[in-house]
Amino acid sequence: MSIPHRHFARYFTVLTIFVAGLVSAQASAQPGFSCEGENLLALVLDNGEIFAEGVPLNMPVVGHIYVLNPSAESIRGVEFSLNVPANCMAQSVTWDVQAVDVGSGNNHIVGFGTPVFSDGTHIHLGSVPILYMDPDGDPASIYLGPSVPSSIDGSMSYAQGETSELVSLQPVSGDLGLPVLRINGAPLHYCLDLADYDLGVVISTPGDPFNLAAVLPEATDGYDPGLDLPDTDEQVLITFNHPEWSSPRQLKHDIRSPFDPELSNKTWFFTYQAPAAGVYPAELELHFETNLAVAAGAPATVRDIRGNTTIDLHSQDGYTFIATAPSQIRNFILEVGTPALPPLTFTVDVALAGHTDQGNTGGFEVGATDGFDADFDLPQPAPQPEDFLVASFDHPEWPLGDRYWRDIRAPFDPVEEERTWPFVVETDLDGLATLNFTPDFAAYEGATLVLHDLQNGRIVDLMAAPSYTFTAEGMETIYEFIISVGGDVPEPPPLEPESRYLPVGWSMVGFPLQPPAGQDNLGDMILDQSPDRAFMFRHAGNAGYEQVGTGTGTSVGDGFWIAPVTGYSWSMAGTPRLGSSTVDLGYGWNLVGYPLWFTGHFSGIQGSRYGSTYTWDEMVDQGLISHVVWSYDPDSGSYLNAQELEPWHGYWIRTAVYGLNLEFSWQNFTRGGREGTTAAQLAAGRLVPPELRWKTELQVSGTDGGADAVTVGVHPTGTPGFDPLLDLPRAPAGPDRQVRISAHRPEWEDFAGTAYATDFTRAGGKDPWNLLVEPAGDGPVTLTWERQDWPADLDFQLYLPEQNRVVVRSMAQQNSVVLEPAGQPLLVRVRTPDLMSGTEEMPPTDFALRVRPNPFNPSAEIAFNLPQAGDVEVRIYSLRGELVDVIAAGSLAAGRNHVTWHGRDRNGRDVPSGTYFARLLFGGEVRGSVQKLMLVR
Amino acid sequence: MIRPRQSLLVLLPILCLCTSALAQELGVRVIVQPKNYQAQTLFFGVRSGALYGLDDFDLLAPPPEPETTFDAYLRMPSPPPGLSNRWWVDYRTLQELYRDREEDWDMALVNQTPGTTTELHLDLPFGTLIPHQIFLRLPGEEEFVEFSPPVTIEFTVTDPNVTLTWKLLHADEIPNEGQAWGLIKSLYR
Repeated sequence: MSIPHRHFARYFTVLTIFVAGLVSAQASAQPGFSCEGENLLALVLDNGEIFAEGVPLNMPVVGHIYVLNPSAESIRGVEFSLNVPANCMAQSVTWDVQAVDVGSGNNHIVGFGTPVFSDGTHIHLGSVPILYMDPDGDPASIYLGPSVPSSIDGSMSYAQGETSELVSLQPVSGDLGLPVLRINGAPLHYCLDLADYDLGVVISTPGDPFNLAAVLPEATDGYDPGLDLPDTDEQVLITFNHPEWSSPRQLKHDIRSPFDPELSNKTWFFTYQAPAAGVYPAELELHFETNLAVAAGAPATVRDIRGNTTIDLHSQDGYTFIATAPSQIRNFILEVGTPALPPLTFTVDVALAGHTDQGNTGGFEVGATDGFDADFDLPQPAPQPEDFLVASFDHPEWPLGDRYWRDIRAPFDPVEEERTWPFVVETDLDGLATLNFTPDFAAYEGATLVLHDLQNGRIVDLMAAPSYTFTAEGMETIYEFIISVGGDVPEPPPLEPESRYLPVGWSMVGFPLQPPAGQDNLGDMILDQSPDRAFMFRHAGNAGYEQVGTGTGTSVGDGFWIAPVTGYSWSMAGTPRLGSSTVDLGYGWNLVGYPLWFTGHFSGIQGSRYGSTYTWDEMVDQGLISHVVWSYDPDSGSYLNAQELEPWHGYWIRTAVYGLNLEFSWQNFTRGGREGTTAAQLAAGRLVPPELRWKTELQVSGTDGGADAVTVGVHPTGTPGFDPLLDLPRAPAGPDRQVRISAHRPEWEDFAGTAYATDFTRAGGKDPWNLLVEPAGDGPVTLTWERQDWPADLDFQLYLPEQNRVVVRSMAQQNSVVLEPAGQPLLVRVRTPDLMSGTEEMPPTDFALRVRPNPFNPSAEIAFNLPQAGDVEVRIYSLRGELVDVIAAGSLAAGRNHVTWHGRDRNGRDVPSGTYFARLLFGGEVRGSVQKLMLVR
Repeated sequence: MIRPRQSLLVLLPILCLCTSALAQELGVRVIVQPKNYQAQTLFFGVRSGALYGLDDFDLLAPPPEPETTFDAYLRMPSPPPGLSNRWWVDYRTLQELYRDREEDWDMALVNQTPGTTTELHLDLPFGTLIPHQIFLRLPGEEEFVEFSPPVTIEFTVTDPNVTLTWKLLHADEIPNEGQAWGLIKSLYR
C-alpha cells in the first residue's frame, strides 16, 4: 500500500513521540527529558538489536519508533524503561519490542507501534506497524502487524510536510555500524496537565490513555489544528468522533470553545472499540481524570448509550463494562454543563386481540442524528408469518430494513419546532387495536405529541388522551400513522352554526353545548326562547313519547322533538364538551341529540358494550346498531337517511342489543388534511371492497311535487332474506298522500310488513329488487338514481314484470326514466342485465341499430331512430365483408323506424346460417355503428 | 264491523233539562290498542277555556318513530298553519258544542299491516256523560253508533289509512245569554 506524501506527513504530524536514534555514546549525553521542548530518545542498536535501558523517557506510551540496523536480521527482546513524570500520567514502564525479522541489506525502517496494554511497569506491544521509506525517501508502505518487509534498500530521508512538526528524519547508513535515526520533534503533547485547560476530562483505558476532552479560549468547536489532535494511534481504542467533519473524524484531543456550564452544555461523543485480540467476553474499563472546577455546580456525565448507564464525573472516576466480542464498539457521550435540550422520549405500545408490541421508542437525545444511528436506533425484524402484531417506526431509507423499534433523533426544541416519526402497525389480526403512548416530556412544558391516523385523517392530541384505537380488518395490512412532536394540536372547531332556526312544526333537536350549571332545563336551553307555544317530546324507549316542558332537565345526548307554533331562531348558552360524551342507548329506537358542536360523520362515533369497544362500522357490521340513522326534514315533514351528524339536531338511532353506549369525542370527528397525506393513503387497504358494499337510492317524484325514495344495495352482512338491521320497514304514509316508492317484499310480511325503505342483500347474488311505485295521481312519475357508490362494472336493468318490458337497459348509462303507472301501483324490478326476459321498449339513440330477435329465423327486425326525415338504406354484410343485401327503406320520417331482413341475399336466395352485419346509411352516408345479426336455420 | 264486548254498558242518554242546564266539561279518552303494537292514547272533548282551534289543552302528536307500522291521531278541523294535523289531544270549546249541539273528531289510523285487530278503550277522565252522547262512525259505515264509556270496542283495520269519526252530542238546549243560561256563560267564556 502506498500513501501520498501529504498523508505521510500527517501521519507524522499526529505522532507525538519524537525519537532520535543515537549511538550509545550520544545517548548517554542526553539530558533529562521534560514535557516541553525537543525530546530525544537514544536507541542503541547493537548488531541488529535495539537496546536501551534506564533511559528516562519523558514521553507518552502510545507511540514508538523502531530503528533497525541495516545489517540486522532481526530485532529481538528490546526493552525500554520509560520513566514518565506524574503529570504525564504514566510511571516507569518497560517497552518491550518483539523480535522482528527484517532480513538483510541496508534496511532503514521507522516504525510506530502502540502498546496493547500496560500493567504499570511494562508496555507490551502486540503489533508493530512499520512505516518505511523507499530508496527515494518517500513513504512506501505501512504494514500492520509484526511482520516487516524482508528487504529494503537505500537510505531514508524525509522532509517535513505542511502541517508536520517533524523537522527531519535522518537515517544513517549501515556503514556506521551503529546506525542512528534522529527525529526532532515538537513538545510532547502527552504530558497533559489539566490545569492548563479551563475544563478538561482525560479518558484513559489500558492501551489507550490520555484521550482529552477539554476547553480552551483559543479553541473553536470545529477542528483546530494544533489543538485538536487527530487520533492515529496504532491501536485506537478510545476516540472522539466527528462524523460531521470531512477530516479528521477521529480525535484524540477534542478541544472546544469555552462555555458557561451553568447555562449550557457541551457534549463529546466518543467510542470505545474493544481490542481485536483477547478473550471475550471481557471486562473493559474507563478511567476519568477531570478538571471540572468551572463546572462544579453543573452536571458532568459520561453516558454509556448501549448500557443505558450514566456516570457522574463529580463522584466517579471509573467505569467498567463488558464487551462480548473483539472490536466491539461502544458509544459514550461525555456531557458537561446544563443541557439546553435534555432528552425527550415517547414510547408506543400496541395491543390487539391478546397480542402486544411494547416499548417502541421515539424521541431525541444528544448524540443522535436524524438519520440512522447504530447506537440510538434499533432495527426490528420482520413479523412472523401469521398471527402477528408488529409496531415500528417506518424507515425504508435506513440501512437495516424498514422497521425500527427505536427512532431517536437529533435534539430540537419541541416547543418551537416540529419533527415527525412515521409509525406503522402491521397485523393480520382483526379487532380493535389500541395504541398507548407514554410521553416523557417533563422537560418541555408546552410540547405537543400528536397522532395522525393516515387511514382516516384523524388527528389526535396525545397529551390530552394518550391512547388511540383503530380497527384492524383481519387481513395482512399495514396501518400507517404519523407521530408528531411539537406539531400543532388540533384546535376544537368553532360552534357552527351558532344557532338553528326552528320552523313551525316538528324538528328533532339536540344540544350541541354543555349548558351552564343551573341552566340545564329545557326552559333555559330552548323553550323560553320560543315566542309562542311550542310542543316538545322526548322518547322514553318502550314507553314511547313523553311530553316535556320548561322544567325538564336534560342529559348529554338527549334528543327531543319540538314543534313551535311560531318559528324562531334558537341558540343556547354553554360550552363545547371537550371531553368524551357518553350516550347510553336502550334497545330499539333512541332519539339521540348529537352532542357536538360541528358537523361530523358517523365514523367518529365509538361504541362500547360490556367492556368491549367498537367503531361505528363494527357496530353496524356486527349487528349492534342499524346502519340507517334517521334525521327529520321539517320542510318536507319526512324522515331522511342521515349522512352526517349536524349540531343542534337529533337523530333516530336503533340498536339491536342492550347496554350499548356511544362515545362522542370531538377529536374523533375532526379530519384533517395533513401535508403529504394523500387520499390514497387514507384509503389504503382499509376499506371493504366496493363490490361487497354499495347502495343506491332510487327516488321517485310525481308531477304534483311529491317525492319519495328507496335504497337498495349489498352489504357484507346482508342476506337475500329479511335483515332486521339493514332492511327497514317503511314508516306509515303521511296523512297527505304523495307518490311513494318502497321495496316490495310480500314474503317478509310476517316480519315487518311488505314495504321497506331499504333492502340490502349480499354481493354476488342474482336476486332482483322489486320496487313498488304507488303514484299519488294519474300522471307520470319520474324515477331517478345515482350510481356514484357502485363498483365500476356494476350495471342493472329496470324491468316491469307485469308488462314484461325493459324500460332501462343500463342503469349505469342512464340515471332516470319516466314511468306511467296510470294511477295504479307499478312494480319495477331492478335486475342484472343477464336476466334477459322481456322486450325492450327504450327508443334507440339516433341511428343506432337494434335487432330483434337475435338470433333470428327466418327474419329479423332492425330498428333505428332518425333525428330527422330522410332516405334510409340498411346494408347487410357477410362475415367476410361481402355485401349480402340492401334494404332500401326509402324516405322515412323522423323518430323510430324499422326494416325487416328475411335472411336472403339480393337475388332473393336464402343465405346460410351464420353471422351477418347490418349498417345504416342515411342520406347516402354511413351513420351509427355496425350491428351483428345471427341467423340460425 | 263493531263487536262490542259483553261488558259493554250502553247507557241510554237521559235527557234531563235540570242536568243539561249546566255547562259540563267532558273529556273522552280513547286508548287505541292494536294487537301486537304499541297503544296510542288520544283525548278529545270539551273544556272550559278551550278553543275550536289550537288552545293550551291541545297536544300536537310528534311524528311516529321510524318504521312505525301503526299510528293513531286526531285531526283538527282548523289546524294552525304550518303544523302537521296530527293531534293526541284536541279539546273544543263548550260554547261551540252547546251552540251547535254536536262536535265531530276525526281519528286517523295508519296501519302498515292491514287486518290488524284493534281495540278502542273508551272512558271519561273527567266530566260526566250526561248531558252528552258519544257516537262513533267506523270507516265505510254510514251510521254513527252510540257508546257509553267505559267501553271497549274491537274491530279490524282493513286499509292502510282509515278515518274514524267521533261525535259528541250535547242533549241540552243552547244556552241563551238573555235567559237563565246567560248566568253561567262565564263558565265557558
